[in-house]
Amino acid sequence: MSTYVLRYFPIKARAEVARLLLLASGDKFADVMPDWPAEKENQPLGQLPVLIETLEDGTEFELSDSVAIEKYLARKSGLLVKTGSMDTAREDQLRSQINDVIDMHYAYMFAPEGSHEVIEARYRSNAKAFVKYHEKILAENGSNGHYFGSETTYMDIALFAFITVIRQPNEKAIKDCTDYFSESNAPGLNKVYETVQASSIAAPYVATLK
Amino acid sequence: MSTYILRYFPIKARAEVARLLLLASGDKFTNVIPEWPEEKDNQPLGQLPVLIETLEDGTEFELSDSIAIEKYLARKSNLLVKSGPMDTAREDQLSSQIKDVIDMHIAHMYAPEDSREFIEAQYRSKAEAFVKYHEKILAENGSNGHYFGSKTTYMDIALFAFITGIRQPGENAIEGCADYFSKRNAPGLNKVYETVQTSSIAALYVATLK
Repeated sequence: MSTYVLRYFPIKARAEVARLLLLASGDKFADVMPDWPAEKENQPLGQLPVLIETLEDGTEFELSDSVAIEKYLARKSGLLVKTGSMDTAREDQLRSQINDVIDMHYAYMFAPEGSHEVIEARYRSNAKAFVKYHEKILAENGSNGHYFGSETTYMDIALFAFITVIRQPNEKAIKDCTDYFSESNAPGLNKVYETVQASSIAAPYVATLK
Repeated sequence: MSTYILRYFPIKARAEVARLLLLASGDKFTNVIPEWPEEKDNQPLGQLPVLIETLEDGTEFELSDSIAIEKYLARKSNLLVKSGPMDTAREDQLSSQIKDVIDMHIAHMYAPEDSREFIEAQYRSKAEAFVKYHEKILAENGSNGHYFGSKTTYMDIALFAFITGIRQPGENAIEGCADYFSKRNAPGLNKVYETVQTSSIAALYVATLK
């Protein structure tokens, strides 16, 4: 059995899917907050999160990039779609589209004042397009609280984590950034959110949110 | 046999890997340049590139997001790594890191004047870290012109397309953006570039560059 270290800041941002999956797996893992920026140079590409897996034979596997980490853990838990290459491609696409929205959300909070207007415009445009397209995809799958089939898969979990993260109040965030994802504007997305929230997979993670 | 349409602008930016793979596959495909911005709302999430596959039975599969498209085509041509989940995770990480650098490069070219300084700083920081980490990875694989094993895989092709693109900077590109990736600064990356450039897989694509 491997053990894991997840290096990240003590914030709910890019490591929530990894945390949820590690908690669900039952594998031993530790959240480690590096001294920052003191340890920036020690991370692959100076970025977090980083996952370090220590295998049974003692060797280490160090992985960076939040989506690579998520998919690695999801694959181990059998949570990536297994219905063929088109669904896998769709899964890649949909997950990437979450980043198109969340990256603008983060960029706004960390960018200089002069960039705010253009970033906000991109955020709003990406968020609107995201909701329109994802609501359509979810309706095509039967509005059953799942992106694929009738069981919880990685993409459902990624969406749940995204909504959880974006709903954290933050005075530096774009005004009303969460409205696009409200129950009335995005019923399908909210059904996915609620389905994951109530699932056994997410239970250990949801318990940490209280 | 499927046929394909690749919708994108007539520029070398986010569709080169897809073009290379489609040419290599021998499958019939067409580059289509949509009227822009008129057709923006007709694209999933109002973005390009978009791949439309028409299957033998006449059904269509429409896919967006450049990396999802690339991996879909690479999987069909057996070019994704097949040496286990750790290598697949590494492949995901490395290709995402290319995107991190390209995104800053493209952002700089289209951003308003007062955002450019901030974006340039991010580009330089990411490009430096990218080269440092990727040179290490390539040396660990034997400095043989490949990211994985001893044959050309998707990641080699993605790197080749990236270098090809960054060496043709457009208007408002960051000054010296390609210098980080020069032969002297990045010998390992250049070996991958040259290996792909002379490979049979890339031959049809390379012919279009002349």
